[in-house]
Amino acid sequence: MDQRVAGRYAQALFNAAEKAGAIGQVENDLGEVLASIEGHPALHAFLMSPVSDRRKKSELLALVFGGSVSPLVLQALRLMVDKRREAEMRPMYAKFQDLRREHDNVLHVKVSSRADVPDDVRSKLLEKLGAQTGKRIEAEYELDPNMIGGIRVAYDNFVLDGTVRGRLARLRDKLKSELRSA
Amino acid sequence: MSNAKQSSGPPAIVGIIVGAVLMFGGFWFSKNVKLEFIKTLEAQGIPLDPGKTISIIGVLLILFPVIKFFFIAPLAEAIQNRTTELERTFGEAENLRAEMTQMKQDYERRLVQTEADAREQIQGQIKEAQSLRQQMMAEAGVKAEELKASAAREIEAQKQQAIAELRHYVVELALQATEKLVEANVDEERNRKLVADFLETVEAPR
Repeated sequence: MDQRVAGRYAQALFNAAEKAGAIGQVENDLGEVLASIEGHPALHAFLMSPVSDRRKKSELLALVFGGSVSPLVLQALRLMVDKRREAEMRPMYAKFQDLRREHDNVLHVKVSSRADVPDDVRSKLLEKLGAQTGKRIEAEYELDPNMIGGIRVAYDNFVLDGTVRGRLARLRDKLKSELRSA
Repeated sequence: MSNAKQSSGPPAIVGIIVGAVLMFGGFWFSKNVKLEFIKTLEAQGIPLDPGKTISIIGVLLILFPVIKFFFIAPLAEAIQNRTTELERTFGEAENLRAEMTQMKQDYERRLVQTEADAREQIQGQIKEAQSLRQQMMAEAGVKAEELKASAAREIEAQKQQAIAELRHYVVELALQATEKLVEANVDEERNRKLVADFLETVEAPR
């Protein structure tokens, strides 16, 4: 997959959505469409198959999603099908999200923990991260059963590791470093 | 022949002339003169003829230079030549002998000198070999010491490495044990406290 191609489609769709004042709606519709496609293997296989007729793919998209999603989204997806860029749909969606976050000064963070993070902790975490980064925080929570305890926050190229295993790893590195320098 | 010509005394021609005079005089005397005592002697049975005797003496005087010229002189010359040759040969032999003696002496002297040189060279080589042996033994000793020191250093380094690896292993074991203990003892309350601690201390880079 060519990230640059996906980026160009995402930028074009984002510009159109911004002009129409429908960035949020376009993002939601795009996410729902992709989820629907990926949730139906037969539909997904038909759309992604290089031997399927492009015109039929475009007509199918219009038929299935025509009345339920934004015309911008439908137009963008049909254009990508016409250009045989079906495989770039998911990367295009990710790029669109990046553009929207950049536009709205939003920082997307991934929070990993062994158990569900309570709401009070979530709100406190988002408040603190928002204060420290100067951005609105958009968090994605995931459960990691391999964790012993604690929490890990990842965004951009940073990882804030508050897990037990992370602390032990830092302790291990420190001890080994001291042993080497001894 | 030159010796014959150079011989002292009257020349040969004088002898020949005298001999011819005596020969012809004696012949004439024998034919023409009959002395009384000769007749007496013939009568007594002694046929003495002084003329013939004088003639024979003259013949001898003539023959003597001839014999001397054709026989004695070449013979003397041959003998002289032979003598000279022998003397020269003996001289050469003597020279050769002297030369050989000299060469022998030279050879013996050179032999002695060569033996002395050889002894000197052998002594020198022996000294050099001994010096080389001592030098090699010293170098071997130094090298052995270096190898020993290197081996000691390597042993020490390996020992330190083994100790370090052992320490690392101990740290790893201790941390693994700690991880197991912590995993067994982390409940909801402790987890909440860990998260709370993280929230207190977290510093998010922009």
